[in-house]
Amino acid sequence: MIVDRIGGVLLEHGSWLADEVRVKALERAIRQTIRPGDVAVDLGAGTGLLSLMAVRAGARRVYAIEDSEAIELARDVVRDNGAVDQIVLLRGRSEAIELPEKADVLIGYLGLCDGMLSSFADARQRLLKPDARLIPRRFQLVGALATADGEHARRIDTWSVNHCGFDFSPIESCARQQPYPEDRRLESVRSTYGTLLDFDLASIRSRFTKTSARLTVQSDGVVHGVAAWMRVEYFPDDWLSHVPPETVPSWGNYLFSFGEALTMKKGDFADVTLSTHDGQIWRWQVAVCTAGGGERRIDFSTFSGFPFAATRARSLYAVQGLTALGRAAASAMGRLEEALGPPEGVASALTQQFPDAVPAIEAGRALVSEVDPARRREHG
Amino acid sequence: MYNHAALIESQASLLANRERVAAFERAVKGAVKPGDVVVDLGAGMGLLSLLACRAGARKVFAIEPGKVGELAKRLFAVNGVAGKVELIPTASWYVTLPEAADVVMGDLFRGGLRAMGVRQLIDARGRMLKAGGVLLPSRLRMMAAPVHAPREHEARIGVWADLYGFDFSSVQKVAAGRAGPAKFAPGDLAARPEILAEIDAAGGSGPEWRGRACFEFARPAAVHGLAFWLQTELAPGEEISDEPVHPAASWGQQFVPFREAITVNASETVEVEVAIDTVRDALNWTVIARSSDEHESSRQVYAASRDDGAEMIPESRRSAFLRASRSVLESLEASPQTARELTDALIASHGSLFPTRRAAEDLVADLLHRFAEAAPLGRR
Repeated sequence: MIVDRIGGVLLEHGSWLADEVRVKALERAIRQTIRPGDVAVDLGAGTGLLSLMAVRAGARRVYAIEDSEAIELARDVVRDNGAVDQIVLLRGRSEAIELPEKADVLIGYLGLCDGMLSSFADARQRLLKPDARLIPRRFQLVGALATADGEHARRIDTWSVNHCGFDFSPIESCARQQPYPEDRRLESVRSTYGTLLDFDLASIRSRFTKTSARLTVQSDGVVHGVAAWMRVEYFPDDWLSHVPPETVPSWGNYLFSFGEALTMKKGDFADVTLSTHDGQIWRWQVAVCTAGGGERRIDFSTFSGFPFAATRARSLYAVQGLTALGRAAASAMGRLEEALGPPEGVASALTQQFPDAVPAIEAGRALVSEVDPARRREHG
Repeated sequence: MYNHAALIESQASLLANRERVAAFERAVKGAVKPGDVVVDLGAGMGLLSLLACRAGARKVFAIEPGKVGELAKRLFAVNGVAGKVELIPTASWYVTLPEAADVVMGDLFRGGLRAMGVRQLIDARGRMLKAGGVLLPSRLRMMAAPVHAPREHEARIGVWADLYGFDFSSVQKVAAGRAGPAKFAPGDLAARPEILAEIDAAGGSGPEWRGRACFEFARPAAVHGLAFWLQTELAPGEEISDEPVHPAASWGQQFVPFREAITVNASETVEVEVAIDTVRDALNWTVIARSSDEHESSRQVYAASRDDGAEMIPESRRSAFLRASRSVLESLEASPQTARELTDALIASHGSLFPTRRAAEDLVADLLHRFAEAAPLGRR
């Protein structure tokens, strides 16, 4: 019953791979894109399925890059499928990896996540030949005004009432300004659709993008926000779309909330501008116009939606010194480097030498595991 | 980076579970006496700290290394207890408190049993609690039951059987015996739940868990694995449980799939033995199916450990990384510097380890995040 990281990783990857709609679209694109003898890069390779597909399509070499435990499992998979000579597994962030040759094809996982554009832009610049073919080629978010289920109101209302007699209202403004993952079976679309984000991955230059659309109400009802669905072009004119009525089982959608429920009638409209900096910060500015002549403006962003912790924001230019724990860490590194006994012995030595920073054996163990290069990323 | 929907959601579901909140409210009220010093381990947004203040605590140390602590700070301010509660943004084992506590409490097991939570609790009991002080929770019980769960088994095991013509059986082997989150209904249980292991946290128990249970079957069943959940005694007579009863009000259970479902006949038994190594986060367990004549019909042995996903780094490279990391800390110790200066120096001294500047920047940022503090203004 220990919460098991690999158990969780496998469940997640398994559910993506079980989505035949998505995987078959990707394999179709891989088959059509890869030419015999190609070198490919698989960004976010997971347990290696798409890399294997690239080899099956004729790739001479595939560099499979993945920053999670999944890649350790891929080692056996690659061996069992006889692709050891073709697939090179590389653990880490693609921005921190250099390849011995430039690739003809990029196969990339792309979602609404941190650094979605910079990792693509970096790969295009450093890892690919100038005329490399990209899978996917283009990425869009399509939005519409939507009625969410009761769950959405609860997300925000939870914070406006007292619990155990305490005031939780400071969290309410945070709760309004999040793009919530939604289950689209539980929401209904009220308006026309509009494109809220459009990346042409071969030509995109800036990490900041801003797109506007007018969404016009087609059926009266309560509107909680703008629902958004992904649409991805894997091969010229071959799109995989989660925009209703189409569906991709393993894709979710988002609701950019208005923070309140608005009653809208047919013909009312909302002008929506969605902007993002590299998937890290999302901002949605909305002007809602109703027949009664009312206009309401909403300007939410995930950046202003959470208290800013000055202590965590260490800029490139701030001058910094070492903490007491840092001195103990340096000593731990030295001991591990010279292989002075097993980790447990190092942990115990640290408690002797740095009793203030490492007050007990548990602290020593934690520190030893934090400084070990094979473990470090587990402690993020 | 700035998307906190999941964090806020998890806090909301914490409040939504009213029975659980009420149990904590009663337990804290019973444990904390006017004038007490209290430690809140893994304080989250600070609900238990607020409750301790209401019960009359003179001082509360709220230990929360996560970002959610920023929300807690706001709640402490708006509820008028900012003067009493001190938020400590560090992992509890690195913390030495200025005074011993009358009560050490923590809501450490939301969403499953974490070995780390057990270690935190036992470590704090030893170092932070006065003799005769109160530990909350006082007792932890790992409950288990065999489950009929074809869908969950398919999602974890079956999915890897044949993936688009490739052999993923090695992943399937790793997936068997690994815990992952699931939500079961009472009808999914194939036999009555039993206590598998128990920790008397308030008493003398160390962090190791070991136990066995024997399940009897009233009728034949196909068993796909085991469901585990935690039953927590907050204080004598005050218990909370994640058993499959009220799916909406529970954090759910953990599911450990067998390699293959086993068929058990009525009057047969299934015996489970478990040993948890909390230091290595390793879970070893054995399942023995036995018929009424004591004949063993099947035996399955599983081992899962945190080490399974560790990055495979050759020893020479690992030492080189340790040396490079230590050089960063030592140069910070010699004189305060900026991240940029440290990165330049790191590339100059250990350039061959970092294929891109970004790779060196990542290491420096990680080390600064863990082990640096801003130097006083005007120091250079």
